[in-house]
Amino acid sequence: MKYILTVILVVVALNAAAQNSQVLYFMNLPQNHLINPALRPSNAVYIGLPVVSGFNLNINNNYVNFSDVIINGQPKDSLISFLHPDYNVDKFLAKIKDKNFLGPELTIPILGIGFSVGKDGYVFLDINTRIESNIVLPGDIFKLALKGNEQFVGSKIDLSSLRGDIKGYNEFGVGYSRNFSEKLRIGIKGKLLFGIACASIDNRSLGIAVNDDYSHTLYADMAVNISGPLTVNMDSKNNISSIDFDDNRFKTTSGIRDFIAGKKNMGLGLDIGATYDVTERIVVSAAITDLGFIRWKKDVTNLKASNHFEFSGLNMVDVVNGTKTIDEVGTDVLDSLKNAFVVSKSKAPFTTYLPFGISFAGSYSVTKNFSLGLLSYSRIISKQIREALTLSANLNLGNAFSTSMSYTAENHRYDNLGAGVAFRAGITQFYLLSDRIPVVWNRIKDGNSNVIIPANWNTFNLRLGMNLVFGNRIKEKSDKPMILVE
Amino acid sequence: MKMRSVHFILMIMVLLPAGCIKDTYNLKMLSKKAHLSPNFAISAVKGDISFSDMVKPNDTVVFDQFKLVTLVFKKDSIVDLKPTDFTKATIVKTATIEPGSIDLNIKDFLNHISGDFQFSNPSIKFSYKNSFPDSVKVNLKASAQRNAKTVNLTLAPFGLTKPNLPTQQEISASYLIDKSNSNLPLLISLPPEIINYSGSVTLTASVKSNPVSDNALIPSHMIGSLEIDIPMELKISNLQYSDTVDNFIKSGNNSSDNPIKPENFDSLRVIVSAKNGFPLGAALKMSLFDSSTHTIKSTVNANAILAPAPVDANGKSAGVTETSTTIKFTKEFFSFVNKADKIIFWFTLNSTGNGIVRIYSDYRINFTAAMVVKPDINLK
Repeated sequence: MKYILTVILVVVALNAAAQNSQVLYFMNLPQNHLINPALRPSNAVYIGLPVVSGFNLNINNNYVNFSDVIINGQPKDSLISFLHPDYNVDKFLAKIKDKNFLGPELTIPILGIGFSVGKDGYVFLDINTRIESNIVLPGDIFKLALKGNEQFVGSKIDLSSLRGDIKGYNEFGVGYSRNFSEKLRIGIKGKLLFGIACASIDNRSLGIAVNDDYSHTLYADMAVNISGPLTVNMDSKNNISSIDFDDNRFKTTSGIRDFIAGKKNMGLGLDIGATYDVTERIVVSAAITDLGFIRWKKDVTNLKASNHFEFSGLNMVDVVNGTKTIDEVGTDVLDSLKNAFVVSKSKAPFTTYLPFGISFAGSYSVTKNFSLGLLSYSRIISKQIREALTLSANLNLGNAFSTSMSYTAENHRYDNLGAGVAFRAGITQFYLLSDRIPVVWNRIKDGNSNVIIPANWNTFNLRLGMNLVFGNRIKEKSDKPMILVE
Repeated sequence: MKMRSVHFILMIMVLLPAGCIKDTYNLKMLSKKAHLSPNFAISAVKGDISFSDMVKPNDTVVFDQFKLVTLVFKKDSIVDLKPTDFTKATIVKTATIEPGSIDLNIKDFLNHISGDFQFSNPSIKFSYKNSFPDSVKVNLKASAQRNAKTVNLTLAPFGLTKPNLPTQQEISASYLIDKSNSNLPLLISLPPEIINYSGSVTLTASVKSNPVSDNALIPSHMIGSLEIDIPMELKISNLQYSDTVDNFIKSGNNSSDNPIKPENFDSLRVIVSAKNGFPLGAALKMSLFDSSTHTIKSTVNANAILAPAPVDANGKSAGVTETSTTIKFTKEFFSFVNKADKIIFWFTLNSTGNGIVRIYSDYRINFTAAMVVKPDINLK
């Protein structure tokens, strides 16, 4: 039991999604060009170095929390899991959505450079290693496992939303932004992508129709595309017999380097954004980020299965007329099922598209240094759209000190309070920000060990790191004195 | 402005460390009980089966030209008489039909049935080859026997056709025994385990013959055989077949590792849907039986698992009857599974209405049986 819970905890916690640092948008940090390339920091130059540039950790899931998995039982000190007979399983299932996503995304900055060019131009160069994953579990899977298939009689177990996608790639981006008018600033970043490894489920259709007579029709049209150091072996009946991991290539430095470089899996990406000063105090902005694709060509394996299979019971005609035994009829059905979903293997290159983001924002400067912001960020992942809406209060004292407090509605949670703070000491700028500050925590005791985890883990975001910054651009006032003294 | 900024920062500084421990979960207090109790429904079996799928025509089961099903039992050479077999008399000579029996080989089956059924039109064909020039009369006695019950055929002696000498030396013919000249329907409807027969054959010479020499002079011969035909024209009232078998549901001795045990089943429903083209209805009962105490522990009843098809005036099926029956095995039933060593099945048949129905080889039954099972799966 403990192992089951541990697995659930690890899966939910570690497979959490990095989405976006909402609170970053209105802060005076070099990293904010990552979510809108038209944004620029007040520093003339910034350098982000490997490791010290920090990391970005985000946790998102849209369904359960620890307190949904384990609750207090009777007597009061005791605990019961959602699999306990006293736990109302319907209560647990009420928390399950039609699409339950887990989407870990990890961005490790290798190098970041930005510098001013000319009067208002800004050039930035970024090298990042990114690991992105998107797993969507259909709600019907949970219902099927916990309550069985009888509830689906006359309908279908819809698994068409099942997704599984994980990829690692290197991103080389060069961007430029400048003012096109006094009010309009546009930024664009082109990215060259090099895929390291990828596994992707292409689910065109998957489900089980449960008919009124309890017959079942299983239909699937799926492909699994893999690019990685794996060999999938098939037996004579086209069933997967084994999967071998090629660890030989990791025995030499050059082998590891070649693998990480991912030179043969190339792709392109694009970020584009704009800001517009509506008035002296009101600025609106919009951006599309991570628009792109990777063409995977190295170590490719495609596994495809497509067909449908109907099971309406063992046909007893052959048994009754004595031509077959019931065991033989059962074996025939299983063979038919296997043959219906024969896996075909190929090595055709495939393309994956990056989940891209669309943001719309507006800010109102209450004072010179204090502003209020509203940001809408939509993440489009395959056929899903995930929306986050953030209200923020932002204080930017040049680049000496920048802070922001935010309220974000996302992942079906409306209690996400976030904050960010960045301050500069000499040429070093430190930053720490989170879209959701876990205010309430739970303590998990197991023997002598104590673990503190957020009471709510639907959204957890932490970005922290350090930049080297030089200079501080001071925006010249465009207004003219009302009285000109000669 | 500076004051405002300070307030703002202070607010953040207060909020950040304001996080508190809401609950403490001591995993040592976590109950290890874990189970799943889903309802799984699945089609189990199906079939669209005709009588001819169930029973292939053979020596015993015959489909006539109208596809009427008939049971046929044959006994060759029940009579094989030569002149030397007859008494040495001058006018009336007599020979004995050696007593014999026809075993229908249904004793085991009959031991399991009770109730009534009635065959309306059975017949016995006595086929013979006769070369005796004189008048031959057969006095066939037959009786059906089932346990202590006996039913006599009560057949009057009947004459055989003689050959038309001198052009015809031997004649092949038959004599039909049926409800018009005997008690045959009652005899067959017993139904018998064995039919015993015996009797005599009387030969009456047209002229006085020499009792010593004529047998040697005339090489005459008479051979007779019996064929019992039982057309499936019948009426069944609560014909019940019962059988006791070992309790195959019971957990084995080495089942401790098996997470799914019969006693852990919450329920099982078997949903039988049928389109029955046979003019026969069926009911099923199943009981868990403890042979050590001779007690029935629990019973599951399916009173009308099949309803009989309607019939026309001739007793032929005139359509199908649709039924859907749910046989429920409750938690209480499963709780007794391991307390019973036997299972008793009762299978009851009834024919349509009160009249005679006919069984044809092209009758069909279309059925599906689905199971809805709710196990209590212990994941501990």
